[in-house]
Amino acid sequence: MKYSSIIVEDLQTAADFLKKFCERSGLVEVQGHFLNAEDALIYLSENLVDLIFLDVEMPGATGFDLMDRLVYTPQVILTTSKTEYAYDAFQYNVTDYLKKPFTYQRFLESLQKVQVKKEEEDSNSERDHIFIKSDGKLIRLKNDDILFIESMGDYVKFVTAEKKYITHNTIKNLETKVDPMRFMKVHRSYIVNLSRIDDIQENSLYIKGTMIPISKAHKARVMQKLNIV
Amino acid sequence: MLKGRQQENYQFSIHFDQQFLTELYGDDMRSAEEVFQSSIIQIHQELEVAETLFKKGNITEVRKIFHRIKPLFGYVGLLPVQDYIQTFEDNCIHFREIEGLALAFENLKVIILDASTKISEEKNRLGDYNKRRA
Repeated sequence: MKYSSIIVEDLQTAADFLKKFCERSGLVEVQGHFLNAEDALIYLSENLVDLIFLDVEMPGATGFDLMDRLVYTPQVILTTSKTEYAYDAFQYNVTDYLKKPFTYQRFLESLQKVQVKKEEEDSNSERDHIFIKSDGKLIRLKNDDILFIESMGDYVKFVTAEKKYITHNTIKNLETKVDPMRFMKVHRSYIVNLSRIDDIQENSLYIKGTMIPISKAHKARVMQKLNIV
Repeated sequence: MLKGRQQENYQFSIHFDQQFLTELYGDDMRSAEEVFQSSIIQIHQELEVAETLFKKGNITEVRKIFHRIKPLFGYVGLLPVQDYIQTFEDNCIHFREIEGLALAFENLKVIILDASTKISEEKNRLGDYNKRRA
């Protein structure tokens, strides 16, 4: 199986190298090359990809802006000529960080990381529960019991019908850890259990009386996911 | 036999990072020639724009241009030039007025034009090599 990908890069030479490396690996299919984040976002709003090779500094929006506006979470390999972005890259939970120019060998190492992450995600999605660290212990939460997850800065709150659990984590990170068939990010601060939504009114949804905002960027995808007859 | 093969391998001039370029291009010297050629063109074009913007005092855009062309010097194996550009980029953030950057800009221009001459000469060597092998 090949990973579908796009390249978002304003330097043609860098994009050409990436295309050649992808082709040579036989593991990655490049569906498109975009010179800026805005064009890439238009493509991504209608097409799903497994992987994005993403430059950071480009004309207009940055690579981080693009990640902020993504409504789903493909794997991202940042490609930049500046090492100072490493901390931000970590915060955004990107799969790898390639400093331009990089060799084919280094590129292959990145693809290995993509494979490992993919396997982790696949195995997570097969489970019916997750473990969270809270109050100094690991707590098993059944997917069915989680109503929604709310961001609280460097912490997140897992809300169940009976209890709330606060744990050190980020929505961005959790997005890749929870079952994508069951949970969905509807706002930069909220992931909801789709099967627990009671009703939706305009740009908000309600779960057990709690109003949760749906961001403009996520709304179309939320509506797509719901079983509307 | 091995000696004969070694003689066939392209040896970049001393200014260029042979090991890195070998890793990057393998024995595909046609690709190397293309990249050297396109890099010269882009470096000259972008340097011209950077000069105009610098005279207008638009430091933010000048920094962006140098940031964009910086990796090109890596793709042609002149890795230290990237460090010079990075230093200039950092200065662009610290100095908001062109007066504080004028000397650094001129110095960087000299470095880039010198590098550009070397890239151009190497591109010609690569061209001759590829013609001989055609």
